[in-house]
Amino acid sequence: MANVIVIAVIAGILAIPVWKIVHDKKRNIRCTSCSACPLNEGCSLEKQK
Amino acid sequence: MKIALAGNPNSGKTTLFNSLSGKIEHVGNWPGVTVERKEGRIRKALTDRNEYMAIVDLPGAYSMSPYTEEESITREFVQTENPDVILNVVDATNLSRSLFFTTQLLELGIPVVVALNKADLISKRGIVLDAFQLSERLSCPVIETVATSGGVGRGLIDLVDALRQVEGTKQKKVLSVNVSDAHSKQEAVELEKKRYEKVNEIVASVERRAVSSHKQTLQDTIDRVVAHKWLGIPIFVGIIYLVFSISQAWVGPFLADIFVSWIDAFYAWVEGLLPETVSPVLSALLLDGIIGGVGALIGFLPLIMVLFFSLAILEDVGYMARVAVVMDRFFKKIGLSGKSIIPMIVSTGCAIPGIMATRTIRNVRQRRTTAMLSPFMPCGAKLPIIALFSGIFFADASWVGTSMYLLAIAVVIVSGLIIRKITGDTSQSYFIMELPEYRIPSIKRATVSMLHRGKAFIVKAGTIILVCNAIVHILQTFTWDFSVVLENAPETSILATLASPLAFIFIPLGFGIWQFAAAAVTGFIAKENVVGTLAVTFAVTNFISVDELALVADGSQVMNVFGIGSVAALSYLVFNLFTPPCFAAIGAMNAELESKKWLFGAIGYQLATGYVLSFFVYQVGTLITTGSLGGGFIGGLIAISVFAGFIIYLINRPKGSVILSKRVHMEA
Repeated sequence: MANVIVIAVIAGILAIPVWKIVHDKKRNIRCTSCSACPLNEGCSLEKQK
Repeated sequence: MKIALAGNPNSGKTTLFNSLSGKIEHVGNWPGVTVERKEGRIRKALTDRNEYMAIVDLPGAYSMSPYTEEESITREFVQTENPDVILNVVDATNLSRSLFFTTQLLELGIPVVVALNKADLISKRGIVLDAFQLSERLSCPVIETVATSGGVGRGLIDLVDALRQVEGTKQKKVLSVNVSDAHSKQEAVELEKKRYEKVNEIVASVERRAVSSHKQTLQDTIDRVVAHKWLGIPIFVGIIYLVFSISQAWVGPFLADIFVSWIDAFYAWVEGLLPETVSPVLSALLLDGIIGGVGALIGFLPLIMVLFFSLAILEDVGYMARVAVVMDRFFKKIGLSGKSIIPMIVSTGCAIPGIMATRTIRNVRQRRTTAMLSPFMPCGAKLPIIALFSGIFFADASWVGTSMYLLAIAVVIVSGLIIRKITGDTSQSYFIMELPEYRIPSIKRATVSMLHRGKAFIVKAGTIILVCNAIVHILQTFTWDFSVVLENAPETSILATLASPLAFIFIPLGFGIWQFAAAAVTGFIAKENVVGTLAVTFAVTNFISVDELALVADGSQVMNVFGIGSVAALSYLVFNLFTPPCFAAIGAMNAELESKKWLFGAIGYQLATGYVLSFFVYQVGTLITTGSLGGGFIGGLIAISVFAGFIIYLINRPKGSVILSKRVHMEA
């Protein structure tokens, strides 16, 4: 039973970043440096917002 | 209402945009920070109604003539998107230069409001400016503003009122001079001259300067030293050394210690929660693979934040613009210009926006070369690798980080020269940049910049790095028949068998060990992975000592676990820093290079550069420290000879086959 709970916890921990990676990929987000970026609208991320 | 925010570079447009919209777009104390337009909405505290006032921040421009990419964007927007009002930001301390563009904006027929920005500096400079008279002469409202002041900013409420009042009115022209009507170059020059005369006449009637512009100011005196062609270089080296000392030897480790104690406490807490009946494989995956791997990387967060804070201060004070001037001399010699330096400075944060910022460079060869070379600058993701290796092998020596920046600049210069020879394009560009005023840096701006970068670092560690560490841990836990790897046979794991052939290639570089090979490969997914993968594969969950206030917990012990010496460690550091950037940055290169030939050429060149530099560091370092060459010398020498031969062939190939070079010439 303890093993099942730990597997579920690990799966949960991994599911969030995997979802985020897939989600970002779909939105064509290439980096997370928006605040340092001089492009803004030049970035495909902004265009899809 | 749609408002276009236009003005000269570094007149404070983005700062005013942030004050008006409440946004926190990146601003910098140097021209060219904005290379694309950005939109926002004037915040309700300023409008006090439910009206919608959209504001578009445009890149800086000196005129409506599209001499640069930024000016093209500004011109196109103003002429095609019909804003209701143009908000012209004018640097109050430099009226004669700013009004040239203002007079052109007044001729478009769109109502203009002038924001006389940096108004707080007028009296400090001994300048007397009659804003009312200026408003009369320009036939438009002129409002004094200080966008950098706290709260709603000085003059912003009046400014918004003025914008509201002029909407729908017809703007009166100051003079009717249209360069596009000119029939010859001579005629165009004459028309521009007429405009300058008019501007000078207006300035003479509204401005009184107590200080002669010919007098040397304190800023001029500082610039004579800081931007001096020879003195500028050691000053730059000294400043970077100081930044690394603060972030990696003084303040950084102290903060990292506190931070790591929290991570350790969290690790212990989770460990305590796990009952003894849990499979050791699962608990190891959770504790060492996920928490340990991410924790090892997150431990470096305070160091990185201190470094970013220091760099933001340097930018805000106006120093980075001087670096561009100092470097311009070298860049010109290799066929690039000072404009190429801006993407490279941006790349010290992240290579992706740096590569994208190259699109302001008009010359195709220069643009592609800059996009190809910008990733050599150590980005934020590479800093944990620098911190880790300088901490373990060089006792937190600040010279390691400093030398990586200097090596990056040297690599950029040599590579620029090689690419210039290969393409055969000898065209030169000239870089003109107005040096911004030195100013007292804003702690708030630097803190905001640091927090944003820190957040980006945490998000990355919690997503891509976490997943990669988990995969790496699983791959090294199991053999190909999915049985658990025996404790005394780690080389039977899936990861070890995949990485071992690569490790063979790295023998001439001094780190022919499968763990290092695996970390170098995962580094292509994200450079932070190098630290995470090393932590997972060597089962070191804490690189920072809580007891010793040191960057690396018992450095000698970790060194023993790694099984390499300091020369090989430096070689590994160089390899990770100068091989191709992460996949995301390669994607950005693909978009900006617009040529598969250049893309694959760039990746191949970057791989070869990392290998060659690493080879020389290891072999020469080993020769100096031990008196004999390192292992795999002959094999490495053959690989390097092949690369050198290929470069020589590309440089000397017959003119007829220089398709790439021809195309570059045509496009340029």
